[in-house]
Order: sequence, then C-alpha cells, then structure tokens
Amino acid sequence: MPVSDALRRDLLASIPNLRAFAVSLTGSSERADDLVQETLMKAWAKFDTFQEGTNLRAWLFTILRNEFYSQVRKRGREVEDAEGTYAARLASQPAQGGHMDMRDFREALNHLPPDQREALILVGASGFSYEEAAEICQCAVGTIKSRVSRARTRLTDLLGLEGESYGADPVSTTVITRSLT
Amino acid sequence: MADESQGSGGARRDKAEPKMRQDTGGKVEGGKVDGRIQGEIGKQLRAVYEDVVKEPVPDRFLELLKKLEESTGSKN
Repeated sequence: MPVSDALRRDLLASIPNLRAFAVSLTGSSERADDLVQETLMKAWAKFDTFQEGTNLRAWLFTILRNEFYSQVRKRGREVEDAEGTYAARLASQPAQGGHMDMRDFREALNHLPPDQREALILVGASGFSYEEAAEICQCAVGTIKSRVSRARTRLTDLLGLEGESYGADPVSTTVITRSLT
Repeated sequence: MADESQGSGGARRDKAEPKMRQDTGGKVEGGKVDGRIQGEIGKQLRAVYEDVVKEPVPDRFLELLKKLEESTGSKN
C-alpha cells in the first residue's frame, strides 16, 4: 500500500519523540536507535491498519513500546546488565552543588520501576493525556494515574526533595520559585 | 558523595543520598507529592527528554525511510 506524503512527513516528524521515548525505555542511545529503526519498519509494514486522521504519534509509541517489551522478553538477562551498567555509570558521576542536578535526576529516573517510569514520561514529557498513555500501555486510565503518582512519590524520595531539605537550600528554592511563577 | 564542606546544604544532601529510601514521611500527604515538587520534577523530566528530542534526526532513519519508500513503490 502506498504511503501518502502527509503520512510520510508526519512519520519523519515523530522520530525525535520516538527516540526520546526509546532512550527512556532502554537507557542507551544506541539501543534506542535500533528500537526506533525496528519501530519504523514495523509501522511501515502495517500502515494499512492505521486510520489516517487518528493519532499517529500514539500509534507509533504503541508499536515502539510493544517492540521494546518483546525484546526484553527475548533478551532477559542481557537487558538487565545493560541497565545495571548504565546506573553504575551515572552513579559514578559526582553531583554538583546542593540543588537538584540533571544527573541526579537521570539516575533517580533510572531507579524507577519500568512501568512507573514509562507512565511518567508519557504523561509528563511526551505530552500524552492519561487516556492516550493508557491506550499506549494497554491498561486502564486509573492504572496510569496511579503509576504516575507513585513515580513522583518515588522520585521525591530518591532525590530527597521532601519539605525540610527542599526549602532549606536557598539556591534551589530560588530556582524553583522562579520556575513556577 | 555529599561534600561535607558545603555546610548545612551538604549535610542535608547527605541525608538524602541513600539510593532506595523506602519511607515516605515528610513531603507526602496521602501518597501525593506537593505541587511545588511536582513542578520541579516535571521541569527536570522535560529537560531530560528534550535533550534527545532536540538532536538532529540521524541519517540512518532518513535512509531507512527512503529505502522503505522504494520497496513499497516497486511492490505496488
């Protein structure tokens, strides 16, 4: 089935977002790009099942996610090792200053259970609604909401963002207050 | 990892350092994270994500799309 120019253009435009989601799933940019490649091939092969005018990005994210978990099932142990190495590499980088560092944040993100991390990314970074995220993850909307909420709680713990230490650091307090106003 | 010489900020960081803290005391009320912290988490999350989004699309994908297009063209 020929693919329309508009669809091809939208597909191309989706690649940066697919890569970002893939990095968040795999923890490695190399594996992420392999995953995106696989996703594009799969998508192309079954474009006839895609209804033009519906949400292409959600459709592509679903394919990518399914591909990722089928790889995880196949590779098992190997994937775990890759993630361990990634975590260790991040942990060896010293944090700078007393405020929340992006490196600290990445590391904390990496420590979240995968289902919580992906829910948080889809809703908090990819810009999907809870409903779309539920569709992508093939679960109930309430499940996504609770995963996002638990992810935030967990990050708050991992990063030590609780009220006392959070408010006590004048630098981060300033930064945060400014960012929210 | 926390720098002791940093004074009170450093000491508090130290307290927060252990990787897997299980307690949820303090900032959390009924399992919800307060809005300020939620805003900061969201900001960091988008920053990490945008880092990748901003990268130029690698050539391999442009080549792939071209190849896919050619193969579709010849099949139909």
